[in-house]
Amino acid sequence: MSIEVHHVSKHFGTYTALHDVCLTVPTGQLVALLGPSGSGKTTLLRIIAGLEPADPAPHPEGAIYFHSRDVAGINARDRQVGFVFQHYALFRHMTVFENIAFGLRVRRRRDRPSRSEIRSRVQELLELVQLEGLAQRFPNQLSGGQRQRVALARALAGEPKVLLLDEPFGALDAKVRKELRTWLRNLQKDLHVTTLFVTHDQDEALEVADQIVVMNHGRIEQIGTPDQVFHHPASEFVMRFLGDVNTFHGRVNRGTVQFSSLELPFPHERQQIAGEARVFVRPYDVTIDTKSNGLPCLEARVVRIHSAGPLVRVELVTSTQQHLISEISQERFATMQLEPESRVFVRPRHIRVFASEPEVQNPPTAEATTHSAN
Amino acid sequence: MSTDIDLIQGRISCAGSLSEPEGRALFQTLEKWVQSHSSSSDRPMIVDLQQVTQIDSMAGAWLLRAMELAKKSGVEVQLQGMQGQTGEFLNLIAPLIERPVPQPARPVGFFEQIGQTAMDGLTEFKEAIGLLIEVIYWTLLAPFEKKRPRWNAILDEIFEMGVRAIPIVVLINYLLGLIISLMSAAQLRQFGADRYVADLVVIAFTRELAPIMTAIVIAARSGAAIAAELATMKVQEEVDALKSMGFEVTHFLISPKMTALTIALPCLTFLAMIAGVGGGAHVGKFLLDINMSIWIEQTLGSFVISDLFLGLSKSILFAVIIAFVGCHNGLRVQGGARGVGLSTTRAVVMDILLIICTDLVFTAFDYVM
Repeated sequence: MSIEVHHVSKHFGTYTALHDVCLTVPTGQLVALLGPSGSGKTTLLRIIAGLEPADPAPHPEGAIYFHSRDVAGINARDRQVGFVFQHYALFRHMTVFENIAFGLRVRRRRDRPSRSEIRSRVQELLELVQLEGLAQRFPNQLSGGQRQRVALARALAGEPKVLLLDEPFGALDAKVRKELRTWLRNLQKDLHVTTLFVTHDQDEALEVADQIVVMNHGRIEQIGTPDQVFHHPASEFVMRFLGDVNTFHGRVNRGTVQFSSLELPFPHERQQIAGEARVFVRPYDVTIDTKSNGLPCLEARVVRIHSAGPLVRVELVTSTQQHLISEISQERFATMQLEPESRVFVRPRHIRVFASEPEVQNPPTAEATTHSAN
Repeated sequence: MSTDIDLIQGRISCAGSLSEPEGRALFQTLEKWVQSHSSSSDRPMIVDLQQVTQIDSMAGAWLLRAMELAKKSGVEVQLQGMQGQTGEFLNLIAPLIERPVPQPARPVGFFEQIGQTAMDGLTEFKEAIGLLIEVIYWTLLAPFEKKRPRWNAILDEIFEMGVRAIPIVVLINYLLGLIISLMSAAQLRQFGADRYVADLVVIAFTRELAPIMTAIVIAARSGAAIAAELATMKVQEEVDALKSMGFEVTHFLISPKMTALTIALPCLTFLAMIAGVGGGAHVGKFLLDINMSIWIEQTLGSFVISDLFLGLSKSILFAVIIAFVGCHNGLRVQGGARGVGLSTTRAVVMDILLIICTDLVFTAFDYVM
């Protein structure tokens, strides 16, 4: 079942939680709502679930459709959603079995499955979330990851058409989180249920989702596949939010961009960027050389080196007192023999420029690859 | 050290090592400059640190104060020529320079406060009315639309809020019976009217004391429990979990408590009346040496069935108040564990206040009639 959100807004008092949000989630897809806290992603999820009403008719076409059916005024039960909460929200006085069976047991008599049907359904779900044998435990006898899987089983018990997860792995430790998100991804693909999940962890969104919806201040900044949002961010915010980035203040002038002491060709005449601009470089796009090779580069001094990890992270300070972070491969690091206080030459391999006009909603953007092989 | 100050060029040059006295001098210079230039601040003030060989944290602190002052007065200050150790140090404190100047909180006016409180009260009142309508629907009307009340939950609640409260309610009313009869005996004895203690006790307990005391005990016991339970469920998202599974929270959680308490509290009140009168009788027999047959005669003479009904009908209203206030406050919870504590406290305070006020209205009405 697809979800369509048309022009939905939400205010809490004078605070705008959502501002005219439009969104489509195609059937069977796994979509991540990504944004910092306070960006309205949870509010949007709760409105879709029917736990919170949207602002009444701020827009003539404001509505939410589940498979082309307007769900305004339809309560959570009839929306057939399964909702998983960040803090599990399991019923603590019930066993795992009772928790999962709860939604089925307390149904109206005519919709209620028989006892044996409920038992086999719960058994099925326990197998699905790989918790066979724990049916008689209470939630406080389970680990966080197990609890979240019980919560997921409970949400799936009613055979929802739409699964909504609110920061499902937010309260878990890094390792369990990684395992669970891969598991969730596979489970979602098996069940083929339209799934929307909220997260503030960009790695999680990039790894799991088919589509990512990046939100900020109650607005959608960009919707796209993980590749699109990561490699072609639509705004400065998306650029900054998805991973580390080095920022420079610069100027765009007749086919070149100047920042720090660099002047690079910027051959995007069709872009309307001119004048003040912000230049962004991802750490892995900052190359380090111990000798100047004639290409435009910045002189810098190594401040700190973190070599534990797949990439070596080098913190640098340029001669103009600009802090920079570079990520280079272990092999490259080994050949260069860097150490703190080394003098190096730094060159951005790939830059992205946004006009520095914070008032403009979608500043024109452009990217340039400096023309040299590495 | 030497600090050159060139006010005309809008430039301060420092040289040598900067420490506390130099930093202070720098700040004072800048302060003067800001005061005299606050109107025409189109040109930035330049602080040249080219010649500085050494800078310590005291000077850094003064520099920060100077930058903050400048920012507050809308003057731009540019630091120039930092190098070597000076540059490193300034990089270290750069985040402090760039942090936003804290805005002093706007003082809230007296009338604004009154208005805000009134608006908050109004919002809460609206919420309460909404909840009340839902509760009335689910408790009184829904059963006629084939939406069955949850009898299991109601029986559980009656056991929890009623049966298990019997000992404490009986004990407290018994003790209160002792107190009231002792206290009144001391007064009535002066007129040789000992035997009227019996009348006083039975009237007081059926009309006022048993309903009030029982309601207050239950408000503290069950009212707090209701608020705490719902608040905890709300905080831990269990309420939302129920909603997302399609349950009406009012039907599922609130209505059973409401029904259970309106059944349990009158029963408890009836027991409390008996306990109070019993306590009075024990004082009469063992301390006042009044013949029991006289005591019973007096008691029955003053006992009016309408008083009993008055007391019990009050207790029904108190039950509604306790359950409703508990649920209302529980569902209004904000924040975590602290919020639960606050809403529980609020529920009990509101309970007791409303119980006493309602009782006053009843008594005054009865007096006028």
